Amino acid sequence: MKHKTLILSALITSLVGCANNPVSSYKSKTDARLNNIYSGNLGTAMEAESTTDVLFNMEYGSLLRMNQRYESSNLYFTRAQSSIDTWAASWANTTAGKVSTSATAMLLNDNVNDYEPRGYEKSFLTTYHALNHVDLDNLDNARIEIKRMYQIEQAIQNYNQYLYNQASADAQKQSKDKTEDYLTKQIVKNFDFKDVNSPEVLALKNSYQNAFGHYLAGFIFEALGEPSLARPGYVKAGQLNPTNKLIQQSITNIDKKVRPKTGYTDLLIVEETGHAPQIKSNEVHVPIDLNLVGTKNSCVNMINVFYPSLIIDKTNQATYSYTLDNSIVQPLPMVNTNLMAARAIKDNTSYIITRNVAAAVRNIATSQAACSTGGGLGTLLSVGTSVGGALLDRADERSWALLPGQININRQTLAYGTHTIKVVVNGVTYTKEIQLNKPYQILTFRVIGNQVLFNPQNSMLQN
Amino acid sequence: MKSKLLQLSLLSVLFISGCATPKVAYVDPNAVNSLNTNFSQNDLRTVAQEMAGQLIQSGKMNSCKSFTISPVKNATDQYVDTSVMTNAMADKLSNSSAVHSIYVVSSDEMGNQVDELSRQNQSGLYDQSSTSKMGKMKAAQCRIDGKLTSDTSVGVDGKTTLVAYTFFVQVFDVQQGAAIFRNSKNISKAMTY
Repeated sequence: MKHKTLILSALITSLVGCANNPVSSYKSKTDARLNNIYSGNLGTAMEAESTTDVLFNMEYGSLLRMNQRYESSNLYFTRAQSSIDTWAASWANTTAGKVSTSATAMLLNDNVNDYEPRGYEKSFLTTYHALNHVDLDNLDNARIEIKRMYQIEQAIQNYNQYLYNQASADAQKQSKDKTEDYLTKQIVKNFDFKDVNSPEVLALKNSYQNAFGHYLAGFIFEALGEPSLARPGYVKAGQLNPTNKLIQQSITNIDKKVRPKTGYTDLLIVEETGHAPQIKSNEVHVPIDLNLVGTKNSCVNMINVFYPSLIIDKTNQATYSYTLDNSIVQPLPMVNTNLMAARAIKDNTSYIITRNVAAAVRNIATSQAACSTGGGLGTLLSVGTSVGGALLDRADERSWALLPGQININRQTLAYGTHTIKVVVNGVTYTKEIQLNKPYQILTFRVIGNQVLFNPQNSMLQN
Repeated sequence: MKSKLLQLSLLSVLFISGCATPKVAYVDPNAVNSLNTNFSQNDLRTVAQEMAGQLIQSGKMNSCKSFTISPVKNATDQYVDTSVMTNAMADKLSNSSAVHSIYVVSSDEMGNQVDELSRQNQSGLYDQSSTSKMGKMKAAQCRIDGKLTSDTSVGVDGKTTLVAYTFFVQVFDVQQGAAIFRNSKNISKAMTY
């Protein structure tokens, strides 16, 4: 057993230097990026990289989008999408597709795996890819991304079914093994999942479908003159966000074939605020007594329990009202990314428990082996394995933090010509003149820190 | 417990992250996707062709000299491209030797038709003796109207989802506004976890 302990220690040491460093903190990385963004240093918040890392490509694509560099943003979104497309194709018509969780992850931690975007991140990627195409005045490409969104949602649904089946099987297996059953109970007792079990989180239909993506689909299909596809976009948005009155009005308008009169624009105003929650790993040491489950002479009396918690962006408000040609407009909440992230963690609870059990089993085995060695080497190994275990026992902190924390919408019918929008953030007024000259247009702006980042308003949708 | 570490260590080299190269193959376009309850491309074509077949059998189409098809309204919550249904019905009716009514341009196709007529008559690029003239298009005597609806119900055990689809079709005499044919076709799909 001594050599296995040494192998594990060597494996930990060697992986610390890898790209997927198992002991790195993603939260620290995003803290630095956000500080730069808040300071207005969008250009230096991240450095360009040529990488297949899907999370980097999503984050950097978002940053470039904030900086109005839509073509470059699409380059990174496309890279991220190509990683997801392979995965989605494997789950499109089956509940036995590609699984990225490796046994190494079970042995060490999730950070050694390439990042697997959460369901809501996958659907947001297509949404933002589509918005970039709208900003580049290419509705046909936006339509492709919108179609990809609902195909990916089907894949996510199949994948979630697989996870559900897997969780049931794991739970059955764990309940049959006395040690694992005991460990599971100790672990669950020490989880603090209050944030992810709130009524608002539980009220979500699921964690991966975003109402804004479907509303945008409805709007784009409507602009393209495809009401049979626009209607389900609005209907799905309404199922995901039943309280938004604008959605029901949009369905009614499609049914009544309402289109903007000649010389008028149906303007969709998209307000994005803040950033998506960061994830922090919490670790607690929990005393155990393996003698209770029949293990004799165990020298192990402690395990590490780790679980993720959300760090919500408190810098920005959820909504900011604004004026459009001096009329006050109240944006209507559409998507709360904080709730979606919380729901994603809640839906992943069984996997988090399995990860904890696997880590506890690993730590118990290596510590027990070190104890058995005896003498100075035994003490050294014991300390080494417990330090190594503590370093490894972390929840995955990776998440797409540069997504907005909240997305709000409104829709106005305005005559062609120049109009002025004003947004007040912390007492400072940000003004943008917009040119309307097509029946359907989209205006997007992002409030982050003390900045309002408007899109350039070159998105002129076709008739 | 010791054997668990050994198992985990051995497993660590056995990545299950799917290293296989994706393969592409032609598949039967009529194959049934039994994994979900969505209205598939195959369902779209099947119901539209069956409906067109029943319309042909009824012989009602021959009371119209010409006909067009309005876009099928999608009243489900699924992204169903109903132009596939419209096209499938137009194909079957136009290619049937039993139907003497001719298909004329639909409202969806009107944009391209007007563009072409304008190009021929207003661009100044064409010999006017060879152009198709404005104001000579044949109007539809009859119009086919369709609507797709769905109703979802979940079994008491929460494990079975049943989605019932109805494709409803009417043929109207445009001038009189009278329906000369009405029919519906149902498809139900169930999924059990």
